[in-house]
Amino acid sequence: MLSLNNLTVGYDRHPVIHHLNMTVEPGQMIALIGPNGGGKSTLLKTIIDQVKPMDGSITNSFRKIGYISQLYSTNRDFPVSVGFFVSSALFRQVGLFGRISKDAVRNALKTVHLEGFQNKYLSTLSGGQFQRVQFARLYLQQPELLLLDEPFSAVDQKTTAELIELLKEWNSRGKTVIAVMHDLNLVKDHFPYTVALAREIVASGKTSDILTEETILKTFSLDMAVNPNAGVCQRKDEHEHCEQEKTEN
Amino acid sequence: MFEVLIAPFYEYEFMLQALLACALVSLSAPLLGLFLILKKISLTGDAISHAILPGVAVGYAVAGLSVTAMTVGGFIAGSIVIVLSGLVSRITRNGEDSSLAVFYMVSLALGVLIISLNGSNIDLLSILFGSLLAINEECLYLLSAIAAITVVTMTVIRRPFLMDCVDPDFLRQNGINGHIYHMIFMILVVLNLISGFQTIGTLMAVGILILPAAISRLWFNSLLFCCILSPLVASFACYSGIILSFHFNYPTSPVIIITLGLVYMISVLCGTNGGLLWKIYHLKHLDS
Repeated sequence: MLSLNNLTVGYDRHPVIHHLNMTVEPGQMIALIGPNGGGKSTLLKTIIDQVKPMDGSITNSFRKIGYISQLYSTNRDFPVSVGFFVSSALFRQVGLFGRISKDAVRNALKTVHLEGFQNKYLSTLSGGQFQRVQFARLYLQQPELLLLDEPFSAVDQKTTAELIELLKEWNSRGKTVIAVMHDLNLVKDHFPYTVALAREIVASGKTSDILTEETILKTFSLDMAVNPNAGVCQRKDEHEHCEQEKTEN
Repeated sequence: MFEVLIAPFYEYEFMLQALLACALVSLSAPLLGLFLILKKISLTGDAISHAILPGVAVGYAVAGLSVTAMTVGGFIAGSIVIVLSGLVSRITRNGEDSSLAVFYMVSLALGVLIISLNGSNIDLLSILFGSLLAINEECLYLLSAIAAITVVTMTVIRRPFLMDCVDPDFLRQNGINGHIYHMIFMILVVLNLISGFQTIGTLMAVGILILPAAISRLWFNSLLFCCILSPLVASFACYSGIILSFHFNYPTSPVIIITLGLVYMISVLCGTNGGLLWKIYHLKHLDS
């Protein structure tokens, strides 16, 4: 189980997410929707401990978390092979010298329909192929909780359909999935749960209840960009930024 | 032919020692240069190479032209600059480029000043431009140790180090601190720049790291092939430099770097991985 308690996160003391409370049960498949700058990526980064919360806490009982960041955060020009990239899922396990099973890597690539790609360079892959490679690495890593940041935003329909099927299959075998999504049709068709995030949780629950015109309008109409004039969070006990923003709005 | 190209190394011990010294530097330095290029931090290498100078100068001021003193001084100074440039880039975010340029000009000035105050112009020249034909045994031991440490360490850390270059977030999220491997790499860079300074001098030391690596990248995309080709290219250039300076009394280090420059130009034209002729040929192929 993952629970976020009164979580406030920000950059340079300007909060991006306010006082968030949320619980994720094992086996859930959740779509995270919301406008740009609404704090979706920041939330995922906070869960994997890349960004420290300003206030509040996270309790996590999932044993291993797998994370796929937005496409552009990887240096794909670096001349390493697909096989090496996928095998990095096992680095922690095998250490500096341990043997990495070629069969395991080959098998992981097979699950994403990229048989025989292990010796190709990352730089030769298309966006969709690279996303498949990231899924192969996730498969090899065997995490209990999967965090995906816009996994289908630069990917064609066929790849999206295949990767979503893969996600659903993993989910049916007990993996928990949280994915940042922009395509609301995909959310409607494949994700049982939805959380609408616009610096705070606007709505959360069963997708059919959330994806109403009213909620969508409310979620996406707020001015979500980080306001440079917003107050600086100076003390933990007094949330001055909240007060100031209310008056500004 | 034999008389001109090979005999000098039989007849004179200093020639053989110079060749050996070069071979040792060529073995490890281009490997690091390859990653400096791939990580797009060649300028950092340049800055560190000049930053070594004040350390070397202090070593020189304390103990004269002693290999040990100058090496220790250079290593300390180089390490300080790595830490400082890391801090500055983290604090100011985009300021790394300009701050490095500042570091390196100031260090160069400081080093030249300290040496000038304490010794002759000849010493200054030998530190700035190296004295390959006057390498002693102590120095050869140092170069062997640095080459061995570099090759062994890079082999050991290759997995996390490469992954830190490609996808540092993933490593961190898997509980592996990629930054440590980056720091180990930077320390190896300092050590190899010290090797470079002992052989071809501080001003051009970074050339023996970067140029052979840049050349190999123009021929191969494969890291393995680049790791094989770049030491060969570096060794060839060093050999040319030594033999030309022997016969024509040219200064050694500039000839080495110019040779590398010529090979680079040829590679830009003919290289199989992005060379000009290759591209033109492929364009024609498409047109027809």
